[in-house]
Amino acid sequence: MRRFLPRSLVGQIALVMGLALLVAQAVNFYLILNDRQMLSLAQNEGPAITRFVNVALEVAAAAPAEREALLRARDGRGRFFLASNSLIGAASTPRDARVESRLRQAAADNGLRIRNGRAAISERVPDFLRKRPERVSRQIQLLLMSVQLEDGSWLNARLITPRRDPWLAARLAFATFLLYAIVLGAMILIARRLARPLRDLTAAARRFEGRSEAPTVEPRGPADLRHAIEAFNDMNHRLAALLDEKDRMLGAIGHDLRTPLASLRIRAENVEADEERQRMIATIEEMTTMLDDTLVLARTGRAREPARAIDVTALADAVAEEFRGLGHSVTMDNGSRQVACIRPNLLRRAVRNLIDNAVKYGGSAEVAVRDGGGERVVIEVADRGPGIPDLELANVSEPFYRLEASRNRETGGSGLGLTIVRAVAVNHGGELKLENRPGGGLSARLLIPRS
Amino acid sequence: MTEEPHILLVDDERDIRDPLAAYLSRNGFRVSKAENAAAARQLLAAKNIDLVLLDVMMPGEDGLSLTGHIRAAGVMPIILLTARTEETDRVVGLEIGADDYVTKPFSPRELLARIKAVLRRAANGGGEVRAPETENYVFGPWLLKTGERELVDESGVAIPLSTGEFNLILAFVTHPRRVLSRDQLLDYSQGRELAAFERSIDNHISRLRKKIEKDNSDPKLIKTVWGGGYMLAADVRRL
Repeated sequence: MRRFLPRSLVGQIALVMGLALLVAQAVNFYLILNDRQMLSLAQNEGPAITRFVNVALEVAAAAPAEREALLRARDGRGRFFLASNSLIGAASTPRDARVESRLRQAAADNGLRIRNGRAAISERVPDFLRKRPERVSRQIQLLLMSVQLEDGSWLNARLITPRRDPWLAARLAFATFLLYAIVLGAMILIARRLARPLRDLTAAARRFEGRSEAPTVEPRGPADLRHAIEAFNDMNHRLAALLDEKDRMLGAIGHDLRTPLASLRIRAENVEADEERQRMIATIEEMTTMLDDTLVLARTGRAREPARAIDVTALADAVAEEFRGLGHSVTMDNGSRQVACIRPNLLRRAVRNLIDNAVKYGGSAEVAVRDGGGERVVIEVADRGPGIPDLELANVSEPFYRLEASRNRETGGSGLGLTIVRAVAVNHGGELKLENRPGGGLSARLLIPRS
Repeated sequence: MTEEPHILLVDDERDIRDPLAAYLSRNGFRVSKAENAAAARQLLAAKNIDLVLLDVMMPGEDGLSLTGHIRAAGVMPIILLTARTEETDRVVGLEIGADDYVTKPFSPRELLARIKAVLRRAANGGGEVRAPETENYVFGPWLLKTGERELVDESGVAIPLSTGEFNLILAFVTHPRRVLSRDQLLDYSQGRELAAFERSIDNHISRLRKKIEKDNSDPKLIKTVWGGGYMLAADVRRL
């Protein structure tokens, strides 16, 4: 049941207001209809009933011989007659309960004692009205009344009254529906006016990647919402300024640390002892790598590089080729061309880190690029090294995480290699999967969405 | 050697300037030092400088601006020293007209090799040999973007190239429809990255063909000329 309920603002407002209005309007409709019917009775049939009761009083008081003459004198806009039976059979013509109860009420109010009272309304035009124009006959009806007097005789009457409004209920229903539609329509209009800026706001919040051009949402809708949007825009700008500041600071740190490192690197050449010089150079290079990796990691979250359509197979192949050029054993399974929309410099860095790890710990690397299904490309870098204990697989991409035994500090590196790979994967909306291979070694798979 | 080449070293950091000048002097160069762009301009006017080593980030007028100034005046070889690694810096530096760049901290030996390479190219006829690394070339169905080091096909998909492949294709597009011997190819494509080009030319040709030829067994773009070498059989348009 719950899942059929609308979730959106417009849907919920429409549903709740629609139901509430429906109930309110239904009650209103019933009350008004009842009221109008009572009014109609009083205006249309009321005078005829009073007249009938007055005639009945006169008839009841008159001597039996004078009654016929009295009735003839009262004819006009209808006809009265006495009979031993009622004009209205107990079950024949549909009887009108409202008029009957009003008739009895009028009789009691005027001190007319009756044994029985019946009333019905006929829309059949009586014979004596046939010659009137149709326009007139359509506006009238025949009110049939009949009371049984104390002496057991029935006084019957056919009286002409204005025709009741047959469209009263329909007209009322139409007016009610119109009101319903207008109010509900206005409600939905307001809700949509609220919902549209909210949708823009949501889209802008999703789109925000922390670049300097923070998305600005046009403030619109009611004032409260406009204030919220303005506050959101301000927050975006502050956030972008903060991130810019971070970038500038990292750049400054990078520059400030690089200069003394460069100085050291030049001076290291002056060291006479070969072994000592090699060690110094290695240490300086390690510090440089750590500095680079830290800066890269800090910047990966908001890469300025635009994503482009790139042949990922060729990209991995080019990186593998660079490693081969340096004398490493790297095989490349040049299967098929796999195109994805990526940031090439970031992805190149990720693939380089993976191959670097494989070469460092496994002695060689096997690289393959394949279709990963689900609109993704898989870059796999595998080695035949010692692998990683299953328990630690989840931790190795944490910053500065180091394994105890086989993959330790001796082999160098910043401790950020896999962290950067994972950050690059996340930056592209993909993921990094590490697995031990059957038969030994580690397999690192980088899954990147094509678009 | 007739005379030691004269190098102008411009860097605002004394910690770099002094040891680097000493190192270069020990390795057969005459070195003049300047701590800012203004001092560098004076020395350039006063002395007969063969090559400028220029720090990019300096207070006051920076290295890129000075590069533009020097380049406007002539073909003086320039190598940039940069503390930043972002690709855009490299492209901007080369676009303005620097011949090469090294990132701090650099290996002094590598810097030495690059200085020698740039001087050799300058001696071989100056700017003509310098492969402009900021231009794009169109040949056959391909667009070679030198800044990004990639080939772009007709559907807009970019194919990244390794350094070796890039240097080779650059040699071809700068000498189209000319038969190039293996020695010439080595000559033209060496320079920027020395280490990565040790492997055989044939190997790189085969890799390149796999990437750009429709049918690998019947190459239409890079043709083998029996007894001569290879040739790019396509017209090249510079962009």
